[in-house]
Amino acid sequence: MPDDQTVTDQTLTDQMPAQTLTDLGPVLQPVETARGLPNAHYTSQTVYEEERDAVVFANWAGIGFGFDVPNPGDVMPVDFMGMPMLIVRDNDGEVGVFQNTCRHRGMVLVEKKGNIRGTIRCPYHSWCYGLKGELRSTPHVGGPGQNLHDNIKRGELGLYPIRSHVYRDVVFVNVSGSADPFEVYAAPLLERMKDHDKPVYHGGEGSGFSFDVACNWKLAAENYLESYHLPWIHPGLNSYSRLEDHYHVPGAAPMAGQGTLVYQQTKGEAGEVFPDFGGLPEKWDNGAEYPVLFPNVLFAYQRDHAFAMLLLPQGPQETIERTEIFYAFPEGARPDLDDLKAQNAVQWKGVLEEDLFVVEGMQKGRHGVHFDGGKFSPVMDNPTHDFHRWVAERLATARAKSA
Amino acid sequence: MDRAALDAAILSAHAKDDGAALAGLYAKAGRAHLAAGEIDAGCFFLTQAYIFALEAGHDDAPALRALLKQHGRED
Repeated sequence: MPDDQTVTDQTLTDQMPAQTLTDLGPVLQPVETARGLPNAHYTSQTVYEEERDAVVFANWAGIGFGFDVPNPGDVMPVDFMGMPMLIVRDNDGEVGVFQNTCRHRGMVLVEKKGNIRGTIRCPYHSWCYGLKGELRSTPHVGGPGQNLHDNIKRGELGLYPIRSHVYRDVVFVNVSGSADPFEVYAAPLLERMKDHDKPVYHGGEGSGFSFDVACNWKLAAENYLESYHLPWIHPGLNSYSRLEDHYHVPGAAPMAGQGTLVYQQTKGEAGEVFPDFGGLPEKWDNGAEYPVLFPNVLFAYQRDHAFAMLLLPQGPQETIERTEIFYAFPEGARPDLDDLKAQNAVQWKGVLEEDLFVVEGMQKGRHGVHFDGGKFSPVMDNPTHDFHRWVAERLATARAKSA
Repeated sequence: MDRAALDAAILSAHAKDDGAALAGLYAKAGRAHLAAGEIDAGCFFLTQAYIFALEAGHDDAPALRALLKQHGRED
């Protein structure tokens, strides 16, 4: 029996790569001949975890917003693809991110959003951490009333820091710690959008909304990337923003997206508008762009307001889409525009809601066993292909390293 | 406040999750033990006090730490 068991286990191990790895070759072809990512990239828990490590954690992903922790001492726990993280605003006003796990016994430290007046105290044995992650005290660690021990070196046992960066109030993390610095990683986006390198202010309560969507996170990004679907899914746009008024943002991974030449400001019943972001060149009077910073942050750049949507994967087939709207003026500075802000949020929620049946429908379609990843339009689907190819390249690189 | 009353007050503060009160009550217990020459017991309670003061950002935290340091219990 032991010999039989050994053979069985070895056989399973040998078969595992063939069962779990997908064929990325067709995805890496030019758009004219490429296929999309295979079904397993949308349905399989194994591939989801592979993408979590190679595509999401190895790059810069958005997990929250600076306004989630507006005051010194504010903390917000985030469970991001199963990884417990803690967004903290320290007493210098800086935003940091830590693994939300005590260095002692691995207890999760903070379970609820709140304000830390002093230190973060582990609810298990009360090891205490400062807001910059430093280990401040280790009660009774050397015996009752003895809080020191030669083997407990506090300087080596601070909270594990997660590399983070805040851009347009989005809190990005690079969990692996191995990506290029954010400014290098996101350079194509930062360069293209340098006109918009200005402060943005969250619109306050009512300027955000979330959808819990039955789809893989990538489908939400893919749908946002292209304008091909606009006349069919958002027919309301046809009267003023026709398909021919849209263009692809020139592909420069990890960024791709679409733009419009006929952006119209949000207007209230009395013709009131939001103040523009100052100093924008003329092209933004009627232009707007909607790029995705791969892997999971969808941006909107417009003259009078902006938004960012975070795709927060909840599993291979479930995603939370969290959208927050920003303006050129601080919350409370223009109470006369509160109604217009509310109208704007309703308007965007309605537009983005129109996409939900599409991404959920594509998710359902990916259970069709004969679906081969799909065929791209070489004219209309270029940004989608850019994204697929970028994901496939990240996976191929990771597979090559682990081979 | 006798020992029984102090114990009851500590339990009540725990039930209310009142860190500032816990810091004060444990400090009172710790100092009483120190005054009686019971260093280990005193440092146990002072540690409890220090941790709750630290968590709450209480003004007493530096003094409690200094007292523990004086007895070689903190750095």
